[in-house]
This record gives sequence, C-alpha cells and structure tokens, in this order.
Amino acid sequence: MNGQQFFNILWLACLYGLFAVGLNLIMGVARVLNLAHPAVFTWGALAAWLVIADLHTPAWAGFLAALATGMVLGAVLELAAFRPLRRRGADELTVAIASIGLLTILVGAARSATGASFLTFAPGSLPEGRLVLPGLVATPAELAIIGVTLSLVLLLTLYLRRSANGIAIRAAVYSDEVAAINGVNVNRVYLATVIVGSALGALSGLLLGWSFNSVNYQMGEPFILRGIAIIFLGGFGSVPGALVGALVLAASEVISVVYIGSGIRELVPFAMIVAILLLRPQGLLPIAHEDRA
Amino acid sequence: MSDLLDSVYAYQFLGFSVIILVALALSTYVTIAAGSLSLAAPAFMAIGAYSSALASIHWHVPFAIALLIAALTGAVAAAGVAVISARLRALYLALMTLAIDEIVVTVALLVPFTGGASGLSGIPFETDATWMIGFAIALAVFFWRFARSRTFRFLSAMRQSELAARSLGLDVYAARVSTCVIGGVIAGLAGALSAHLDGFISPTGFGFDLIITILTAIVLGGMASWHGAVLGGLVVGLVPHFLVAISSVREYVYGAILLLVLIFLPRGLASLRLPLRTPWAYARSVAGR
Repeated sequence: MNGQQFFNILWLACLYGLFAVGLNLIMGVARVLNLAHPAVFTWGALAAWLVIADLHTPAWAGFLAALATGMVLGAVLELAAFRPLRRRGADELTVAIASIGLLTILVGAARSATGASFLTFAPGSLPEGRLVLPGLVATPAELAIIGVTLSLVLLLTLYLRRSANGIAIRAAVYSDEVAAINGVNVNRVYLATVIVGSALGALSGLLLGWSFNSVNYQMGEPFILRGIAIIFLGGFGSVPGALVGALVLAASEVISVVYIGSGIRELVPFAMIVAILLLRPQGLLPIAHEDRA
Repeated sequence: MSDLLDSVYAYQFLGFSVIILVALALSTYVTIAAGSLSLAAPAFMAIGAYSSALASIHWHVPFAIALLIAALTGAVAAAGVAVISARLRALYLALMTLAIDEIVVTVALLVPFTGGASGLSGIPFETDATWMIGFAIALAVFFWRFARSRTFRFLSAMRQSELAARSLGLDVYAARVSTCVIGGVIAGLAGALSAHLDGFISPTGFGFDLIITILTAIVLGGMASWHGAVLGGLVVGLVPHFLVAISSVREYVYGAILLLVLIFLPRGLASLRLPLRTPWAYARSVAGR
C-alpha cells in the first residue's frame, strides 16, 4: 500500500461519502429510502454535460446546472411522490418501492436524452491535467472531489449544529411528532432536506463524470448496491455513519483490488452488507430515534 | 396455413413467457404472505436456470432431472438467503434481497463456466406446451390448496404480528425459512423452464429490469392474495405485447405504474370490486364466505 493508493481511497471515499450523505440525510429526516437517488446522481452529471458540452458554457455553469437539477428533482420527488404517500400513511417499504418506480422513470428519461451512448466532455472544458506530488499523482477532478466533499460536509455539520433550522431538522430526525408539537414546520423540513440531499447526489454525479470523463445513463447503477451497502454499514439515516461507511467501503474496495484482483470489486459491497449484518446490524454509527431509545 | 402456424407459435411463446412471469410473481407472493417482501426471485430464477442449463449441456440429463436440479438449487439458495436475513424485517429485508440479486448477476458475469457476459447458449429446447401447462396447473393447484391450508393461517397470523404469533407457539423462524424456500423452488423451476425455452441465458436477463417487472406485476395486481399475483403477472405480461406503442417506453410505464398504483390504489387491481368475477365466485362473496 503506497501513498497513491491511500489517495485513491481518500477520493473514492469522498465521492461515495457525498452520495451517501445525501441519501442518508433524506433517509434520516424524511424517513424515505430514496432509491431514485442514483438517478438524481446520473442526471446531475447529464445536466452538467448538456450545459458544458452542448451549450459550451464554462465549467462553473456546469456545477450550477448539476446543483439546480438536483434541487429541482428533489423537489419533484418530495412533492409528487413522498408527500402524497406520507399523507396516505404509507410505510417505509412502500415509499421505497415507489422510489424504485421513480428510479425507473428517471433512468428511462436519461436513456432517451443520451440515446444510450457514452458522452464525454470536450478536452479543456473542465480542468484537466495532473498534479505530481511526492509519491502520488492527482487529477484536478480527484482533488475537487475531496475538497467539495469535505467543505460541504463541514458546512452541513455547522448548519445542523448551530442554526435554528438545523436544530429543527435534527429534532425532526429524532421524532417528527414531537418536533411538530414544538412548532417545527415538518413539511417544510422534509422538502428542504430532500432538496439538499438530492443536490448533494447530483453534485457527486457531476464529479464522477468529470473524473472519468464519461457520462452515460447507467452510471448510477453501481451506486444502487453501494448506496445500500453504505446505509447498512453506517446506520440507516445517519450522516456521520454515511461518511464512515463510505470510508470503509472505499478502503475495502481499493484494498481488495490491490491484493486480490479487479474482478472481486463488485462483490465487496455485498460482503460488507453480510459482514455488518452479522457483526453489528444497527450499523456503525446508528442515529438516535424515538423508536430506538 | 403456415402463417397460421407461425402465429400459433408466436402466441404460444407469449403464453409461456406470461406463465413464467406469473410464476415469478407467485414466488414473490409467498414471502409476502409470511409478512416480508423478498425481491430475490430473479436471483433464484438465475440459479435454477444456470444449474439446469449446465446440467443439460454438460451431463445431458433428462429434462425432468434438470428441473429437479433447478428446484433443489433454488431451494438451497433460498434457505441460505433466509438464514442470512433471519433478523431483517420489511425494508431491510427488501434491500438485502436486492443486494442478493445484484450479487448473483455479478457472479454469473465473473465466473467462467457460466459463460460470463456472453451468456450460455446451446441449451436444448426441452420446454414445450406439456411442461408449461403442467407447471401452470401445478402452481394453480398448489396455491388454491395453500390459501385454504392451516399453514396459511399461521402465516397470516405471523404477517399481522410476529410477536403475537410467537407467543402462540408458532415457529416464526421456520415459517420464514420455508416460505423463502418455496419461493426459491418456484423461481428456480421458472428459470429452468425459461432457459430450456429460449436455448440461451445471460446474466443481464436476470438484472434490474426483471426486478422492476416482477415488482410492477405484484404491486399492480395486489399483494394481498395469490390471485393478485396472477392478475398482475397476466396484465404486465400481456399488455406490452398488444400495446406495441408502449414497448419502447416500457421503463417509463412500469415506473409510472408503480408510483401511481402505490399512491392511488395501494391494494392493487385485485382489490377492486368489479363485477368481473364468475357468478359463482360473486355469489360466494355475497354469501359472506
């Protein structure tokens, strides 16, 4: 294991982490397992591509496009699906199945939009090149992944700890009924959370598309299993758990590829799920919830 | 005349595909009857398909033996899954079974003797009308009797409250494992029949698309009874064939159906009290049975 591999683990963990934090935020607050999150991920990358490669705008416009797409999709998911189901008293499983339906629709839309082809960014439209440091080589995309993830997670943590809205959100995680009694507008909290979580997911999609210079409608597919694995690893709905789970998963993947072989890579998430279920089923950092006290 | 024969063959093939889809829906229904949603039917179907296909190709076994192999491997795999997921409930179980589907597909892609991504071809064409109709009848008889059995009442009790069921002395763990195994056998058999119908199987055929199709079938038809599974399987199997316009946008349609049915008709089509049943069934329901 050398410095390069540690670096690979770091940026892969940050990528998975950004994706998983969005997913777990939605899970913990809105109590929805949003299986359409991988599709939001894909659309984040697609939106950025459409804006940068098709409309030839500068890179930062692509970032904004990804963010905006994530937010809009999040709003649509919450208002068109999660809220109606919540009103009808649907349980977690039913909402998850509904989100699978949304996943299908969004992926189908992505397929139509791309014609099922692999899209690339034109050379120079996004920062490229290599940064050669002692012991490792890094691309701007990989550094951006690390930078973006760490700064957004820091911002999110500060927001949740210090701001009034953040405290309201954390109250709703513990018990939405009690939060509502205390005057928290729970519906607004749900909507805001799904929007923010989806924005994070879309952003992670853009970052992946940038780092591999490839965008296609199936790019979110491997993240379905990995998202599930990180949720099990970290604890359902736990944001710090998402980060820890992402780190564990990324480290396991890289280590197994280095020491065993690349074919084993896709089996790692599954192995992680089985392991955590046998050793610590509630996850590494489970959240505090009224049902779990 | 040959045109007529061609269309007979085409409809026969369609009919067989529908029977297989219905079987998969029923396989999923069995675990629902026990109170958990398992989406692992595609995985057991794949296991049954590959094991029977390999047996047919390499050992030239008679078809009946191949089917037996499929049923056994499906049962063993299902038992394994049930044991691993023993402590999981509802959402967590569904996710676990999704993960299992992915793993089976991944293994099928990686392992050389399953043919990898290019699949397994040269499977003898053994499935014919006799086998398929026999299978359909066997399923119908099984479920008709199952729904009236004492076991089913245990499972219904378990579905409503595992705690209460356990306090009555019911072995909940055994029930969960056995329903999973039954589901695995049915799906495995469906896989073997499908493999020997097409002559070719590949890992992608058991992937996410199949999960969506089965899910749409049971949600649309209704998860409360085996009739719902059959109804859903029939609708999802037949309608795309006749509404050719929607086949290209099939994904949208399935996704939209899932979403809309869950919001507006959560119990599925089978819950609609439409005067579509036979007079005999209608009379029975009116009589309060």
